[in-house]
Formats: sequence, structure tokens, C-alpha cells
Amino acid sequence: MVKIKENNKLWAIHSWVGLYAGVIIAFLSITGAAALFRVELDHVFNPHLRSVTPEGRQLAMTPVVEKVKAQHPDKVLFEVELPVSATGSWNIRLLPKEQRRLFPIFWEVFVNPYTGEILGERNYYKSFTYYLRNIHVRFYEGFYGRQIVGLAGIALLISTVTGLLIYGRFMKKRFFGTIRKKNLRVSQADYHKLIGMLALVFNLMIAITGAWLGLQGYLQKWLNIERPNTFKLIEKPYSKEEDIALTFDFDSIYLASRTHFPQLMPVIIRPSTNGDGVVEVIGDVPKQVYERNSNKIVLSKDNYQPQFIYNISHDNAGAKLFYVQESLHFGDYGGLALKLLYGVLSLTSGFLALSGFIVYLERTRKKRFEQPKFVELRPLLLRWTAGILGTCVIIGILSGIWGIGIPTLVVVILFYSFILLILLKTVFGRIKRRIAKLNNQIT
Amino acid sequence: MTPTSNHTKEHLLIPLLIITGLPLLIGLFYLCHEYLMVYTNSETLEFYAFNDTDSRKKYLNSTMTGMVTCFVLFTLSVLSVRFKKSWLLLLLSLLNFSQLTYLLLYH
Repeated sequence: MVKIKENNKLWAIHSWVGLYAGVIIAFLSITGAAALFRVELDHVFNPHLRSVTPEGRQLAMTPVVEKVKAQHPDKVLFEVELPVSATGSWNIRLLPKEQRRLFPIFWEVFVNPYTGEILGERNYYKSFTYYLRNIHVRFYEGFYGRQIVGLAGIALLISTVTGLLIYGRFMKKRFFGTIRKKNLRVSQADYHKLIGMLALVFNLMIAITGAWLGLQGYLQKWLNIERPNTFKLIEKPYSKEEDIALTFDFDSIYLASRTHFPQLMPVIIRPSTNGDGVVEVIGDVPKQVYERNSNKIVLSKDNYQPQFIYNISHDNAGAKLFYVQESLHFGDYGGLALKLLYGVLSLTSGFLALSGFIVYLERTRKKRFEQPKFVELRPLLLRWTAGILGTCVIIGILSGIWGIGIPTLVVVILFYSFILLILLKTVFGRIKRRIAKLNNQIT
Repeated sequence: MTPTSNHTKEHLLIPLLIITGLPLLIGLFYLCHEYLMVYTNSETLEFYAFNDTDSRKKYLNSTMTGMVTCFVLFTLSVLSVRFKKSWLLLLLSLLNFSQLTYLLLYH
């Protein structure tokens, strides 16, 4: 008897979490599957920027960077991204000296490393790759978007764990994977259980890592955790202006990084602008399954001597746990084949949200039918699907035209207006019902 | 279909097999990727910083051993479900997860 009551409670939690967080989980499932391939898609959509034909030896990097800097006197060099293969281009990234709040810029200049030819330029915030990342990571909500996504991760975790705990109650009398075709509700419930169980470990992993990544900013503050690879100088040897004006040779920095940290595959060369007078060479170490671009060597701008070397493999288990979150979440440690597996599995949480929603709607059909606003299942699902896809497309168009500012503003206004509307509707509904009840009691 | 004690066992064992199998599959993908990167002399090979061909061969052998281990563990897991040996599946699951945790945090 006690067990049945407990099961009913778990089932109620599973249903309510699924019902209220299902739309966000479905949204994150679709955008997450697309975001996995953002780098590959950028190469497919922009081969003129990303791909070059190798012609002999690569040019010295410093004169090319200086040329780009001279062409953009209103901007400061942020970093240079190096290609991972011989057919890739250099990506020189600059930030404006004065950033406009509503129209921020993160300028990228793509250069052919063999000829020095500028292949093209763009504002990263207007690119498709940034759109894919931002819509998944914080769905263009500028204030608490990342945290809302983190909470959705917790909802997925609760939903998965409660689903596992109540699974036995629904499966005791059947073979695993049996799909009954009795009616839509029963068949969808069977698919829900089968897919839920097949993707259980994956969804648990995505939920835990997603919750951590979303709430990371606050959790780090509360738990007093600093990024393990942080390099800090207590006394700055230069002022910010002096640091920016300091010149150094990019190729010597690259060679010094190879000498002092031979396993590091340099991906980013980033000079300091805060007075530290150093250059960070950031990249990956082969064999590691940790977060991309988290190993680094920090070299002095003066003499190219190492100030700090960080290899995740040499750090403690806590640091490894810190850096395993993002790679486990995005599956970028096992090549394209693993990403494709991740892509398929990541769509399962969306399917589970949808099938759970269908089961709920079919289960409550009789009750809903009596209401004046009753809508049939198909148009209702079409409406929700069109809503999700339409939102993605509209934000995508706004992002492509104006970058990050305008779509963020639109999302913030719409999102909080929607929440306010729901709250007001609930409050007024309750007041209305209470008045009606009182009237009934009087009469 | 009438429920028997076997149904109940299957209802418990297959989910556990899936729970064990997916991390093994992901591990297998990672090991295959590593093997191919080193075996095909990819552009990133110089960053593996192998001292000589022997250390390269050693690494290739260790990834191959890892792949075979994943395969054997998975086969044993399937067989444990086939022959309804829940203790074996539990043991394999524990072994697999402790090995993965070790690799992720202490490798």
C-alpha cells in the first residue's frame, strides 16, 4: 500500500515536471542536436572563409596580424584562432574599442595562411554558428537564459530519475520493448517507455552536465570554485594601455609553446590586455576527453618564457570533473561518428517530451472535451511545433540581420510578458473562481 | 503473452544491459577515433609527442585492447541477459562504471 502511494507520488512528479518543462526540454533537444554540429556547419556554409588550398609554406603570422590591425584602427586585437588542419584559414578576432550595447561586435577576419589574402570578414554575433550556440545555451535571453537552461537540466534529471523509478510498475506484465497498438495513448506510452529506457544513461548525463553548465556561474560563486586553468598576477607589471601597445612575435610565441608544451595543439593565441604583459596559447592535448581549449601555456610578451603551464591530465580529480562536463555534454571528443550518435540520442529527450504530452492530452481528453476551448490533438501539436520552429526561425532572421542585441531585446520582452500574462491569468482565474464559490454559498 | 518469472527478470535485465551498453558504445567510438588518428598519421600526430615508433605502437595496442575490452564486456553483458544471470550483469555494470570513472578522473 505504501509502495503504491509512493509510486503515485513519483508518477505525479514525473507528469507535472514533464508537462511544465516539456516544451523547454523539447526546444533544447532540437537546438542541442543542431548546436552539436555548429563548427562543421560553419565550414559547410562558409567554405570561402574556412577552407584554403595549401601552397608551400605558411607565411609569418605577425605581419599579417599587423596588417589586419592597421585596417581596423577602431578595434583591438582579441585573439588569433589557428586552423586544426593544413586546409584551414587563420581567424583573426578583434573587439571594438567602444562596444555599442544594442549592436555589439565580435569581428572576425579570415586570412589565407599561405598567401596572406583576406578571405572575408564578419561580425561573429551575426553568424549562423553563433546563433546555434546562443539559442541552445541561453535562447537569446540576456539576463537569466543560461540559468533557465540549467533549471531545464534539473527538470530533465527529475523526469528521468522518476521515470526510471516508476518504469517497473508499467512493465511488470510485458516483454521489454513491446509496443501495443490498442490506441494512440497506449502506443505512445509504450514508445515513451522504450525510448526513455534506451536513452536513459544519455539523458541522465545530458541532464547533469546541462544543469551544471547552465548554473555554473552561480554554483562557482556559491561554492567558491575558480576555473582550474586561471592565470592571475597579483601585481600587474603594466597599465592596460601599455599592455595593449606591447609588441611581440606571434611565430616566436607559437614556437615557444611547442617547445615548452609539446603535447599542446595550439588553437588560440590570445595576448593579454589587462596589464599582465603575457600571451596565452590555448588548445587541446591529444587523448584527452576534457573540454576543448582548456589546456594552456602562458608566455611573457618580453622574453617568451613560460609563466604558467596548465595540462588537465596533471591536475587533480576535481579539476578533471570540472572539465569533463562540457565535453560529455557536447560529445566533441570522439570525432564526427560520436557526434552523430550524440545527435540521434539528443533528439530522444524531445521525443519523450512530445510522447509524454500526447499521453497526457489523450488521458485528459474527456475532461478537456467538456471545456469550451477544446482543441483536437493534431492542431494542438501543430500549433506547438509551429510555435517552436517559428520562434527559432524569427530569432535566426533577427540574429542574422542585427546580431545579438535586437533578438535578445525581443526575446526578453516577449518572454517576460508571457510569464506576466500567465501569472495574471492564474491570479485572476483564482479570484474569479473564489467569487463564484462565495456567490454559490450565499445563494 | 502470460507473465512468468522470466518476464520479470527480463524487464529488469534488459534496461540494465542498455544502461551498461551505451557508455561502452561511447567508449568504443572514442577508442576507434583515437586509433584512427594515430594509425592514419593524421595532422595531429606530432602533438601526441611519441618518442619513437615503439611508443606509438604501444599506444595503438592499448587503444586496440580497450576496444576489444569494450566488445568483450558488451558480449558478456548480452550473454548474461540471454542466460538470465543477473549477478554477472550487475558485476559487469559495476566493473564498467568504475573503469569509466577511473578513466575520466584519473587518466
